[in-house]
Amino acid sequence: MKYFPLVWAAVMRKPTRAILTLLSVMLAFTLFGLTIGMNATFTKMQEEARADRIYSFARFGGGPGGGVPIALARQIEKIPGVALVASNSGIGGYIQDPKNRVFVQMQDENVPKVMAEWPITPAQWQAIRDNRRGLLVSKRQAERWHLKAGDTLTIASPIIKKADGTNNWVFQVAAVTEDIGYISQGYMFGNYDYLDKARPLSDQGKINMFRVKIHDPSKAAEIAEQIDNRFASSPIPLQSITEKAAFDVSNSGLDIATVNRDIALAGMFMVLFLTANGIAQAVRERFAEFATLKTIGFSDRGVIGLVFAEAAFPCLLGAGLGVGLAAILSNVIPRFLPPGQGLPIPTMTVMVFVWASLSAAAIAFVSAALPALRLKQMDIATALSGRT
Amino acid sequence: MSAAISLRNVVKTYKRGKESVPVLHGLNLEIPAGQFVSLMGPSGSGKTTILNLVGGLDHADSGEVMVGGEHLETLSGGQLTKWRAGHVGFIFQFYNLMPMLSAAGNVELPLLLTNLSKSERARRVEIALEIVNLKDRASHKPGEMSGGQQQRVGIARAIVADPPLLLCDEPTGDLDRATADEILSLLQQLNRQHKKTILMVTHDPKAADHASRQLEMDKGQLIERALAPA
Repeated sequence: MKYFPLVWAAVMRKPTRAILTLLSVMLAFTLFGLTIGMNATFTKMQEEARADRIYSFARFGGGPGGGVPIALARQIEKIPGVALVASNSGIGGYIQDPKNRVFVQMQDENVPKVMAEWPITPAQWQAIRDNRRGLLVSKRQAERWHLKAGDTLTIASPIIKKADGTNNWVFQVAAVTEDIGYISQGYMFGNYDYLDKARPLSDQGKINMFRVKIHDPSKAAEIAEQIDNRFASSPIPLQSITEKAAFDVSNSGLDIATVNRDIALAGMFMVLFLTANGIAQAVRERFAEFATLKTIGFSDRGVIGLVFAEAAFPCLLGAGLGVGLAAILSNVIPRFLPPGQGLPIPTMTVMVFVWASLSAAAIAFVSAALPALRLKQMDIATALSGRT
Repeated sequence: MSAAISLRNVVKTYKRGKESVPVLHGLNLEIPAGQFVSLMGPSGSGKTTILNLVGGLDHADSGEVMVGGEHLETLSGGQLTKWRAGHVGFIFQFYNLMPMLSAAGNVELPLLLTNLSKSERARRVEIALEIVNLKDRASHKPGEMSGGQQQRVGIARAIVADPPLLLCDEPTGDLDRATADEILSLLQQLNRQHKKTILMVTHDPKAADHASRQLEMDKGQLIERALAPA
């Protein structure tokens, strides 16, 4: 600590340069935190994805409120290896103001069995069976809309219309439930029957997607193919994928995880060049001062240590602030995303912070390496005479 | 009186491109402890080379350089660094202060290399600044001080670790006459009251007159000059 004033004096010698460098490093590490945090989310999703579930949806779009006939569920259940089929649909709309967007997933009675790992108790599920207008609101959504059990809310849906021509969907909060990790913005679950019975006759019996539970996870791909083949010639051909495949971002045509990593790496290289240039310039400007320090007894190691500390200061502080800002943004981003859709947001795991710290330390080390070598090779007498 | 500095048959040649420039050829010098010695001579005569050799900043090509009983030619770079920290104080023509540190911060620098506590370091800094009569400017940065005051800070930095030897390279070269005289009087005081051995390189005969012994470099050889009448 006794050397801190010396390091601080060196860093603050050019305050504008120091602050701009710190801001650049901070922004690069914010990007780093968001991208690597997003990859951490993908990894977590992939780890949590079940191998014994298949998602089946309309191959060529489904239309508002769902276009897949629910009757197909009975046919899917007959395919060997299928244990249970649950359906899912939804009402997208807003509360009072179009800016207050919400999305309610309308679940049928099989969802609790197919999605048994969701942190919703049988009593909570039963509550929306007993009251068709009942709504399960996760804690995040309840906090956002200031809702509690017993509250009534009306969702205006510009797309999903009722049989009476209105588009106001009235719900009553049946319970506030625990959040589901990968549904980052929280969720609202309603009863599919409410949606189905309230819609015009022509729209009834339609859903968005089936969740198919199977007996043997090793046969998931084979069963998914059988489902697709079964309806290949029907008016609504289906496309089925396993939950593992659905949650694997590398299957999306663009390997987002790799793109994220490349973006983070590009940011790190930018910081490296910036810091290396800054520290090289700082050492060049103060070469005679370092010669003085060596003259009065500072060892090579001591002087080099000062240079490393000078390089590490903006890197480590910028990394800490940047990843901290990324963590704040991760909490803010969900407010701007349509809720209930399961869109992933970055997860600031301990490993994100560890990687950021290691990267910052590596950048500081590499940035200071060449100037440090120059200082080690310094001829003090020549440097003092100003003939460098 | 024992010799604080002893140079025997010292040879030093500089390389400038392909050319070899001999500066010292077989130089001998004995400076007893407690002397205040001035060293004059034309530019390029080797004055600063002697200072660098005695201060352990450079190595002789051959010969023996003994300072305070230590054979400097036998010490490695790291050993020389440690030795300098404890045995020599350097005073430069252009002060060589750290512009972002206060006077006290600059004076404290050599003490950072010791195991002294913060309070003990502060006490010694205060004493050193008191000796150079700058106690009231401890918090001022070099840019806020005159040349003479900056040189006083440089002197305080040189003496704060209490080294027996002070090496001064043109310490008044950047100062006006009156300020230069004040600095030279301070060096005399350090020599007489604090028993510091001082080797001062200068171009200024008036500065040299403050020393108790005057040497002049001439064609690679040292000549004793008679002291001016007091």
